[in-house]
Amino acid sequence: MEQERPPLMGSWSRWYALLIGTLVIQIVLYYWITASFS
Amino acid sequence: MTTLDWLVLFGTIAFIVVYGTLKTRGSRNIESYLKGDNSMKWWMIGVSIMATQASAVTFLSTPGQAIEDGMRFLQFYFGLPIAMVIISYTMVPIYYKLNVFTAYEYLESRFDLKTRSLGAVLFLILRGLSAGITLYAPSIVLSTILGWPTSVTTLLIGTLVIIYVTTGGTKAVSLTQRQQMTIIMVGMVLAGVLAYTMLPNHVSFGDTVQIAGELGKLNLVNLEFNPNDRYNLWSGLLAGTFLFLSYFGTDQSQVARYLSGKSVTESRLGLMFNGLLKIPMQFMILFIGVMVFVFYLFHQPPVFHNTVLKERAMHTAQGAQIQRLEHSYDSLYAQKQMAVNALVDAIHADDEATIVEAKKQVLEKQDAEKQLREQVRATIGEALPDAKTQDRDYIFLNFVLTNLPTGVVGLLLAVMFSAAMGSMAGELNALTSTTTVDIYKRSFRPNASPVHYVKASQWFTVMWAALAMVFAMLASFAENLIQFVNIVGSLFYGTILGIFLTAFYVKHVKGTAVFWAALIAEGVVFYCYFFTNIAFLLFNIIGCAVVMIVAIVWQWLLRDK
Repeated sequence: MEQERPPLMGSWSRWYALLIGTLVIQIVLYYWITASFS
Repeated sequence: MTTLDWLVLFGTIAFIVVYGTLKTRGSRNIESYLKGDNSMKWWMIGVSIMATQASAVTFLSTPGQAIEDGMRFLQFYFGLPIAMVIISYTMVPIYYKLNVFTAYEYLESRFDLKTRSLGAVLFLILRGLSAGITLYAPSIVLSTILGWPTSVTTLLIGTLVIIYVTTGGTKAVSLTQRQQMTIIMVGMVLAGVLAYTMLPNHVSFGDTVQIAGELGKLNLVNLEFNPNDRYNLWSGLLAGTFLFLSYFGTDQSQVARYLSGKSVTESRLGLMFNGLLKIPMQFMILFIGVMVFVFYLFHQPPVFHNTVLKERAMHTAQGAQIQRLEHSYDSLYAQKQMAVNALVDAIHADDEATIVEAKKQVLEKQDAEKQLREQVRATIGEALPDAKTQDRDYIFLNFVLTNLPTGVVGLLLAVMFSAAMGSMAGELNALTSTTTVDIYKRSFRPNASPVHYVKASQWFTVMWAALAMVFAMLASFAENLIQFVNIVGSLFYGTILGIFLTAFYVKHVKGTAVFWAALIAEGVVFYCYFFTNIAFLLFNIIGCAVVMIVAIVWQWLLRDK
């Protein structure tokens, strides 16, 4: 099957890294909110 | 409800139905009807994926969840981006390469017809029951609010969905979900903003957030590993990944959404879109619940949020008792409000010791309130033994109906209808696809014309909608609809996921081994449900693990044949 190049990021590995990276950042952010306000 | 509210409500619904019907008429073959001619772009796929998952139960119950339990439910979704990556990498290319209409078609090429049929049947049972719940949830709430019988609101929602799904198939579903998601997002944001603007002038946004935090509602992440605690980081990442892998990877209601893409790239991007936006979207909905929680600290909420049910109970022998409890609640709320104002003053003074003391007072009053509410619930239960006394699903709805301006009420009700219709449409489409392709065309009428299959699909849509309406109307399902959705899903998802994971990753296992392993796994899961106290979420892991282990062992036993 032909490998299609995704827009914006250029490769699917980068997209996957973006998703996991965004998840980690959100978990850190939400933990910071929990710790700061609770 | 004012005239404007009715106009907004019916105008919105009419727009969705007419738009969906007119724009998507004329499917001549099942490629068009079931896969939308593979014409969907990535952002439409992403919207469609989110709209299919977000039913009316989400918008009714999630704010109520935050109000009662804080925002920790957000952790449930932490496994979703991980599942999106795995599905995008593994499953999407396989489905496209085989040019399948349904996820279960793949099982025949990998294993055999009986495994495909088993996977399809398990899905049909699961999704058929779920469609009934999806329809039932808004039906009972709307019937309470509008004063119409449940049978009428069920028929109304079901019939509207039949019209545009039968006419336009997958394209109609995806197209109208775009409008529905827009209405839903606008409505929810408006509700949150209005809740904030109605707070007293001396309470700023910063104060609001701090009050919510002090009172335990910003409990977003819990790092403690506790198998008895349903919502923590670890259960979200682990059990959540399994659940979303199964739901998005093997449930036809979601697979159909991204199989309608123009290409593998568009489908994968749709999944990435969902992976990036789902958690922030849930955060927003939960935060709106928090705003309503703070609103109710300054404006007295009803002691029981299903006010129509309470009114009915007032006309019974327990009416006087309920009235006494309400008077107690009024004076308790007044005391709590003094404590809340003291907390606000302490926050403005930035005096930590006073904040701690004021918070303690508020929490004590809150606990007393909770006990009083339990008494009211129990009394209503005595007065009306057949009624559902869980009112968490009515908190947000009651807030909307009682406090928001005219016109906005109609819009928020349209939000609920939209969410219900969007989910229902996705589910019906999936049930139809699987029935037509995996059962009817494969095993009964393999050589009919394309037009015949489109007609058959339309009849199956009507059939499943009718069955969903029957399930919805017959129900006295469980006490708690959200719990019942989780139970039904957990009873089947683990086994279905196990079949697919074996298919993808355990190449030496063949059809006979996995077929019997799946039946055994389903038996084990049902045993756990009826005879043990194991938490439902774990059934996903148990079912999956049993399928894979038993299949490997069975295949090994068959090795010499």
